[in-house]
Amino acid sequence: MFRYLFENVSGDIWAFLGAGLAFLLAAIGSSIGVGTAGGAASGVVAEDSDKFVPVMILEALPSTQGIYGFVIAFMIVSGNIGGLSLEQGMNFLMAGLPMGIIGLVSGIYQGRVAAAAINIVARRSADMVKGIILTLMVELFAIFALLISILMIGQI
Amino acid sequence: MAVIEMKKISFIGFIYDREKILDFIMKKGAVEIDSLDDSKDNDTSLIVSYDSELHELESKMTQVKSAVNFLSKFDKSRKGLFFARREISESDFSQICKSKDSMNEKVKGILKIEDRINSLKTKINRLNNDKESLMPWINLSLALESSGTDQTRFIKGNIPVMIDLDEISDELEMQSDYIHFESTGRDKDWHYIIVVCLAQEYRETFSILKKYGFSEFFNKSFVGTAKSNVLKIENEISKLKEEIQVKQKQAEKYSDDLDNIKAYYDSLKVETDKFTAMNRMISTQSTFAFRGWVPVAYAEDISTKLISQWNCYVVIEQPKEDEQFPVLLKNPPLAGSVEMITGMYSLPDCREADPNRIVAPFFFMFFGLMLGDGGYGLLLAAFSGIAIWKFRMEESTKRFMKMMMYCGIATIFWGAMFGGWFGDLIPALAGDPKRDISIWFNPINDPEYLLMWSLLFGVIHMFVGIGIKGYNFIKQKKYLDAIIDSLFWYVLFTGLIMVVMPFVPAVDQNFALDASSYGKYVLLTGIILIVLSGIKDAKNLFVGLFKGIAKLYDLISFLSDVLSYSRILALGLATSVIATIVNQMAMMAGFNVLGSVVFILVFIAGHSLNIALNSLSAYVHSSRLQYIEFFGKFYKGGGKAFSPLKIDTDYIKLK
Repeated sequence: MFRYLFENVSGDIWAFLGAGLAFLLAAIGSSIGVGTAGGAASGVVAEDSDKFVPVMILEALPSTQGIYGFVIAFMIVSGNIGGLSLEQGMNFLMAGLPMGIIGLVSGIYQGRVAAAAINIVARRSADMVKGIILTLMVELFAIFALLISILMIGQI
Repeated sequence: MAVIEMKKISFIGFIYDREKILDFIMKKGAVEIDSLDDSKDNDTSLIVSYDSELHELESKMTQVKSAVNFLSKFDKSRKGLFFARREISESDFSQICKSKDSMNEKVKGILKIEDRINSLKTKINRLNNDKESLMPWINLSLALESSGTDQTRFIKGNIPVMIDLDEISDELEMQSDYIHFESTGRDKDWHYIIVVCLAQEYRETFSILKKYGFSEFFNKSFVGTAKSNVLKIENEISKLKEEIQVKQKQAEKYSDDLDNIKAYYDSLKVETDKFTAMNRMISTQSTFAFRGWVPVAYAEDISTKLISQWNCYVVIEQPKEDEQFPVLLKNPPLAGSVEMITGMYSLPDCREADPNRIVAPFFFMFFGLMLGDGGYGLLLAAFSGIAIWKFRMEESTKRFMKMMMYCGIATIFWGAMFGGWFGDLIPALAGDPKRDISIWFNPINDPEYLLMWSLLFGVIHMFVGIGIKGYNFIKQKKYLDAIIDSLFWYVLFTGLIMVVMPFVPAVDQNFALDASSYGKYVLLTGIILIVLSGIKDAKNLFVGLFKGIAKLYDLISFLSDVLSYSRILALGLATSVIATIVNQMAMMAGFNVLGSVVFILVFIAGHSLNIALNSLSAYVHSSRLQYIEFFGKFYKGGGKAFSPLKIDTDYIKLK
């Protein structure tokens, strides 16, 4: 079956797979992350609705992985599809993987840190910035993944 | 630079002047009264505690606050877009301070109304629950309290909804011929059933029902049919509701007084602050004394005024070499607008350079690079500019708006450099999406070039940080430390950068190879200098050398710090790519009437979302680059904010 796939399919489908994975995995990560943070956020708002804004900012932080995945998927698909060779298609698939996989993992874990940071806000609103910084530590790796994916696409 | 110098003030005066002197100091708002120093002011007999007064004031304040909260619900006066304290003349305010008793009366009246309304609401809730429980029996024409006739028994109640009713009726019929079983309805949890049986078979019947989880409806307070009871309850509820409306009308009458009650709250707050300050003083039968801090510019003025008005003794002196004084910052508008960002991290130490003037240009530059779209910048700058110009707002809100405005201006600049105006809107509308309208270059076409520049901006940013560290040492006249802690690191990091140059994308390879071949020597020199620098302050040579070698670990953290600036590229690209996608989606419906409606809707929704998300991330990531990469190089922080005794109010502002 694999033999058939490699010999009879154009490169386009692999590029689509790369774009799909980049967005799919990263968006799953973000969904889980925002979901985790959102649960904690609703709990805090239920107690004190004045804390809605700081809590909302923290909840939004893990959504960036999905956005980065979206960017990569778009960069792969726009203007590249149509008569790609097998090698080029494979290259696009590889370029999509860092964003997808790192987006999935970092989204989930960033969500956990964000939920913990929301609990900081619940006790002391003044420490919100510290919570944001702690949450951003996880984000760095998603940014690196975005960067690596962009650079890889640039090389194809 | 801009940490204001403080003078130490010591004061002794007569207690019968205390009230007036405190009023004077509060009005000036420039003296911080130091808390008692345990080691020096050791004579505890001189400390008079005002905790009981404070306690009383606090409980009064909570009462007034809840009255204010309650009345605010009925307040129909127009409010501005931003919160701003009401301006009030000094004489009006002192009038309110004097009319304590009548104010207290009013507050009590309001709280009484609130209590009454709350208890009425609980009553209504309870009645509603009763009504709810009666609803399943509404069609039953038997009185609720009846339990049967001489020969029969009458059972009513509910059974969990998952039980099959046929099963029960079969079993009941098996047990007796004379039995009536009926379901009167169901909801999501329960079946409601009625059973009529012979009196002598009551027990058996009941035990069968019990087996299925039956619970009997039993409430002695209801007399008559369910329907009549429901009617009665409804009557009662409408009566209670009427009473609530009457009470609310009364409350609305009070809402004219809301402004005065708020002012009364503030007068209590001022008094609390006064007592808190008095708690920090020492006093005898007829004198009192305190120590505190006053900014240099005010010291002369305040001491002469104090001496000329009252019989007292004032000493103004320079703080000692190692004494910590409270921190007050003074900056020009551009730098002042980022004080908030630095403040969220930590205030500078009182003997350290205030970093805000250097944070400001970098913060705005990074924000602009990360948002990187001229159109978005225009919107940000215009929105905050108009808000500052048109609306009344508090000083802190104004500062934030100013910061947004500068962020917007920086974004316009970088948007023009990169040719991004709402993504590729201008070229796309012109029908040639690939056209490059940038002044400098378009990062979508050449991301590696921007990556190189991002890293370079990062290196500059951190080198400036190392420079400030040296500046701080020079200010304290520790010249050797300045050389070791900034000059040596410059040599080391410059060497490192030259060596890794060939690996940086978009750098001319010939130049990079040259740089790297010379860089080896620079790096080596740096390593030797740093290792040797460990000897300073070390107990013996080997410990010193070991310390020096351990310092080399900073090479790795420097490298990772530089890489961290690559987020500038990533976030900037994310904004412009999403903006481009929004434009494409908006133009999908073509250039006709329907198309332009779709275009406008998608354009507004898509770009608003993009601005909201990406300006948020530009803000937090730009702050992060200051906090971790920049402040990590030099910033000590930990200063205590200057908090003078002043008229500090929540709702009003004295003219």
